[in-house]
Amino acid sequence: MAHYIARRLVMMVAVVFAVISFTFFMGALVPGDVARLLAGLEASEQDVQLIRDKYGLDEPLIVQYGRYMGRLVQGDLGRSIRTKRLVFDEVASRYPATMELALTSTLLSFLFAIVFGTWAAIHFNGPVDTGTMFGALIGVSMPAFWRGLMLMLVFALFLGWLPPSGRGAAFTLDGLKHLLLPVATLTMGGAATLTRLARSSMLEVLSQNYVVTARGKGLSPWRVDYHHALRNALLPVVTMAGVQFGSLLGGTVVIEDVFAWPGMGRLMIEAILSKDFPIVQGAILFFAVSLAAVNLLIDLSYAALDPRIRYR
Amino acid sequence: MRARLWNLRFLLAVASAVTLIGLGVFASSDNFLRVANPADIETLDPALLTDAISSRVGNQIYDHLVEFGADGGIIPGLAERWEFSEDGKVVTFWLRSGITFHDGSLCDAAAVKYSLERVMDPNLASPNRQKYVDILEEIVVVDATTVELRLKVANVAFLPLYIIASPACPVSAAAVAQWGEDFGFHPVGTGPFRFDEYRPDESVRLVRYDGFWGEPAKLAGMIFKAVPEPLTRVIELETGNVDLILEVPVEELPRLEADPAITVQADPMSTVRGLWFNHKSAILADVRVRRALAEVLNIEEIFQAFLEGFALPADSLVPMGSWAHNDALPGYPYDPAAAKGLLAEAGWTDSNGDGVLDKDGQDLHLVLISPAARYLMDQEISTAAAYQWGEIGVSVDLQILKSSTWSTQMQAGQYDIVFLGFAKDIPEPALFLDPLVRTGGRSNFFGYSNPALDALIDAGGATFDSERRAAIYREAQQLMNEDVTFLPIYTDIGYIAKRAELNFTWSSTRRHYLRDAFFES
Repeated sequence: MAHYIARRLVMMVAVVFAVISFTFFMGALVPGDVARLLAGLEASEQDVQLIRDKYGLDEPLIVQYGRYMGRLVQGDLGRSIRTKRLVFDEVASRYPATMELALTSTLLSFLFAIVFGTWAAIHFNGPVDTGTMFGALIGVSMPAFWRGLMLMLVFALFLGWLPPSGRGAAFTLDGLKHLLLPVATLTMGGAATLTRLARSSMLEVLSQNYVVTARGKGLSPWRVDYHHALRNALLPVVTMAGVQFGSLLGGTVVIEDVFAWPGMGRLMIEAILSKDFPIVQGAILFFAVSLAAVNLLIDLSYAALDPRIRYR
Repeated sequence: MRARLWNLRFLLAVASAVTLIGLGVFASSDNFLRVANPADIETLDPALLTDAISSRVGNQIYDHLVEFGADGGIIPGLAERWEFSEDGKVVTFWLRSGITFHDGSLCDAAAVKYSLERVMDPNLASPNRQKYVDILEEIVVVDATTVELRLKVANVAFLPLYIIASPACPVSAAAVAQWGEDFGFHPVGTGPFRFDEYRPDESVRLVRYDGFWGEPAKLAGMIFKAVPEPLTRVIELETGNVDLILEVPVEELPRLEADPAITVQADPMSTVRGLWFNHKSAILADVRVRRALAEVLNIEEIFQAFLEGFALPADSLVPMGSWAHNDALPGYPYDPAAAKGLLAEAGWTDSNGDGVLDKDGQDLHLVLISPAARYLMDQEISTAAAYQWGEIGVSVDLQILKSSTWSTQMQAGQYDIVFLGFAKDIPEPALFLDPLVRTGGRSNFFGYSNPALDALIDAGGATFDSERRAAIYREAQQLMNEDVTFLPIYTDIGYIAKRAELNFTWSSTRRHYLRDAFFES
């Protein structure tokens, strides 16, 4: 197991390195002159040149790349060209907000999927099944942007129960109130997909021989359904939840925009539009590392869920 | 087996627990003005900031040596009086004594000198550097409260152009030394509010500075939130979660105006939006072609379709509210027949019957580039113009681009016609004419050069008598009108919406409208 994890960690470094290099060279293909964007339309050519010199933007790409990598291995991500703040500070200040949203909504979606997906599968074709699948269909069909604004209109404007936007301090009641609407918006989409997956996966497992045998042995239905069947049905759901979580870590621009949530998505979009490459690079580095770590955790969770899986 | 089941239960328990995170108190903000901005600040270093949002926050933290009064005239700021030498090349400022920065250090003549020299320091790479290097010869500290600016060239508009501009705001040298490159997020000025806290992409919090030299602010502080989605800003205001929004989505105006808890204020802005010609284009170098394009553009129809109530028709590069605006400009009456005649006169006819005008085997083909939603109705107007020009046989390649691509393409001259807008805090004619249409002007992306116009702009900049100056600028506008330098389309009407209990008068040209805001109890 330890050997396996060590090998995966080495692979992770290689993947992150490849991602960073790829991003660096892709960035050069984006049209627009960062120095001019920064200086504004009215700055003189001399001032724009000064900015190019300061950030070494005129140097050959390979030289810029070498310098960037050299600093990176020393743990220096550089400074944002636009705000002059340290890239690490910029990214690290958004990361907890994104993590808060991603973690909460993934766990809720997962919980929702297990409860309702399993229930729907056990009562296949019954009213619970139809109701759950109808709800899931609505959840999948409504665009996040619209979902978010509707929830905001109802719960913030009409009922006045929750603040419309922004983020409160984490682990406070205010923080929780601010978290509810964006999480509900995200969960409605995420849970819908996961519930459908949990249901179909559970249906497949329920028809397997060992389940029939277990029932024949006289085990209680609860034990058969929730202990023997569910654990095997969970594998694809865990995988999908992991993938959802991973993509949420990159930020959810639409949700962040609608709810003025200070997450990674907004940071990244702003940086891309203003060609603030140090930020784009830094954000992608964080993203790549987190995604690789999440994937590793998902793989390890397989062993916990299915005793037949062992890593060496 | 039991342990594994426990694991599963544990997982479910954690999932449920996260939904119940924490307890605490709801933060209240007594006597704090809460403003929803459409974006986060970029920096609060006055030497570096170029965007409107940062400057809105900066205006509460920093002061200028002189300011604009309510009527647009110049009134004392940090300097209680000032004087120009006879030849206009030396400006002396007498500062109020005992002004302190928010960190307690003294704002004296040396601080003014330090702050201006900082802008000109190549190491800072300020986007405003060249502007100051080009005019400032020397800054002399005469005594603790007297500072003399010696200029390389006299400029009548020196105060509005160079002094009432953010780079000329005094900053605390001690704070700059302490924070270095991070000064932009630990700003220290002399204004009525001092910086308190910055939360990236969330908010900037300012609190009242009790050592302020002027009348102390009535508010305890201000919170500027970054709320990118326009509809969310409106809902924030409607729910009373913020007190003021300055970028009101025009489609929400009727709803806001109907709400008794909300007051809407309107004011024409100092902006001119329009279509600019690339004067280096061989086709457009002919004034007859430019005039023909102007006469085919049905401005009235464009207004009815897109701009009614949100903008005023513009007819000149000098905004309508300006003292120098020429009210007697003839404009370009809509006349497609006359336009066709002009094009025929210039040699453009449809000789091969393909519906596109041509001359010497070359089609009348123009590339029109427009940003998307950078200016009010920019892409809609560009599309309408392309259609209207197409009607008389001009082939238009309309390209609607991302702002960054649009500006790069414009600066590289890769266009024939470009939709471009200009906005200034004040309708000072020199601010519009100097950079845009003077030969080699900083923002003359159009390759426009008209020696007669250059002479008028220079004369305007060197004439101290305000009536003669206005006459010169009126003549310059007449000249541009005849030469069809560009096609002015509209001036924005600015709207703000605020909670009714918040009291202040907004003005699109005054910087410090928020400073005396207060809540009626």
